[in-house]
Amino acid sequence: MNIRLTLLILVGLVQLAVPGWMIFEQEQTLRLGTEYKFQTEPVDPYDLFRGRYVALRFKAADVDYKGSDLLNVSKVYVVIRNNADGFAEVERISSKPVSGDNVFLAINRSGWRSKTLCLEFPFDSYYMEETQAPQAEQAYRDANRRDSKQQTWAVVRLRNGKAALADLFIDGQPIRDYLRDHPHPKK
Amino acid sequence: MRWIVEEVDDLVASGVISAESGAALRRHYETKIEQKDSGGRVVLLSVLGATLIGAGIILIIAHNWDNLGRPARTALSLLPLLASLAISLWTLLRRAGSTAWREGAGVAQCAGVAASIALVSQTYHISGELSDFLCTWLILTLPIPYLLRAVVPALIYLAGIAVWAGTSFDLYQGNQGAPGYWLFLAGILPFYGMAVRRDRLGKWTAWLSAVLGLSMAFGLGFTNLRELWIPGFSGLFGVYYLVGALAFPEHRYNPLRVLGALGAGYLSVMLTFKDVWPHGTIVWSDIHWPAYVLAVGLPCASIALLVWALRRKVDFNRFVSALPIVALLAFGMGMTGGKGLDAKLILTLAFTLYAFALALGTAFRGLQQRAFATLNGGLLILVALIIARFVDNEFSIVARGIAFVLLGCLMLGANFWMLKTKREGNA
Repeated sequence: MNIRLTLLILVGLVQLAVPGWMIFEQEQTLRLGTEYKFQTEPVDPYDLFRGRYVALRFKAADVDYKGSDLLNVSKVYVVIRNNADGFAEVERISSKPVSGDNVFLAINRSGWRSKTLCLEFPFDSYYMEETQAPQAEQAYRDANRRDSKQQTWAVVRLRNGKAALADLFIDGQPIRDYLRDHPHPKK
Repeated sequence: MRWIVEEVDDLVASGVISAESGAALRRHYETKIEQKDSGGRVVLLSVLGATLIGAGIILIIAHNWDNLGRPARTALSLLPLLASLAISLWTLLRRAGSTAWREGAGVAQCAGVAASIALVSQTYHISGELSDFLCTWLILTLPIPYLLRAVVPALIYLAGIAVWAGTSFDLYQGNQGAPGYWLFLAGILPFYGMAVRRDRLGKWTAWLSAVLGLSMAFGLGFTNLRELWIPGFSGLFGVYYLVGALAFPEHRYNPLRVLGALGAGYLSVMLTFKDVWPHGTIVWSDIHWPAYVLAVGLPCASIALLVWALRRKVDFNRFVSALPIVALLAFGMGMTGGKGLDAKLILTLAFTLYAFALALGTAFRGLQQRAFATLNGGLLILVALIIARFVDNEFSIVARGIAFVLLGCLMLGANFWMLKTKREGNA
């Protein structure tokens, strides 16, 4: 019985270590990572386990691509640099590991013979309280309409190939402040 | 067990035992029945309670308590796991003998692990794939059935690995499906072995057998065997049937045996269709090695079990156990033999004959053993086979009508005849 008990404690520690490590990694990235602003594009998702969130689409996620060797790779390393407007853009994409504070791992959803690489960034869901998420989604959609003059972006911190989504901005304001100043009942 | 109590009354009435010993026997069995019933009910309630609480916690988490701030939410996210761990530890220390506590604590801990990972993902906006989340969760839940000796967490795990295989099955990425399923399965098989050794004919073991059988069938499907699915699945169903017959000979309707027989019936009818057989030549290099291992290993295992069963002289349906052999022969012939339509025609013809033999053999076995389920299983294969041929070929409406009337008569007649002989046998 003592062995079983010891084993249960050990297993419990391992079970705790997994969310613990996730927390540590994200905190490290948020505190020490390099900050980038990713401009977003238009897309009421509900996640069974994690609740309501705003689904984000990034301008930088569709990359012109002429080769063929990356099309069959399911995960790629994305190297980022800032453009003249201060937003992040893709510098290059690699199937081999790249180190640095401007790199993250993305899922490659490209089709067989596509001319653009469709990437899925690891920070494309912004989770919010269930009553707020639909409003935020609406505000996000309105701000992302073609005729809209507002700019939306996500602040992401990168460190050692890890990415952490810090905040979502609409028109220069964090989304929570924006929703407080501009209430958005869901249509 | 209730029949014993009734029997006791008869024995007292006919003077075989005295009134006192009759009363003592009655008391003994009645308390036993009571314990058995309440035990089962309490276990069910505790598992249900733990499941509801777990689901409720996940929903409460889904609300996403934004205004709490990150540090507080981070601390809270570990709470479900810590609480469930505390329950498990307390159970091992104080209630190790109670099935209800062990099962309930096990379910709670499965939910606790999932809830904590989901909460952290939510707090930090980590948008992972479902399959990655399931993978982490399954690895962390695997020790729970062993440590708590709890069956329900093992059932959750078996269902979970099938779902994981389904979510990671991606035809476009290397065409290999999810062979990792078999690694996950290997992790839980020792637990199944222990359960069989501890309580071979118990209802928990039967549940494990049933869910294990279903999970493995999905797992095999998600491994992407490509054209090799024919030997693969026939081998799997053969193994089910024979393991059921060898390990649980007392159970005519043991879950593995039933699954094996159902699978064999389904497969044998399906393989009588021409289009089910592979088209064109097989590109052998496109098939990954796990598929080869399974497509060769499962039929071989089934044949080895067949030899063993024949030697041990256990009672089993020869026609069901012959499926892997027939499938292997037909598959081999189809792959090496003639080209085009002729080879396929021979294959479907061979399988029509086999399915016909399986149907009649099974129905006859049912008649001999006075087993309605077996009889009707065999007749059902016959009906399916004839309907299948109607789909394939063009018969006149009158011919179909006559065939269906005859089949209906055969089914009703066989069942009535058996009911009658059974009554006469009892009388």
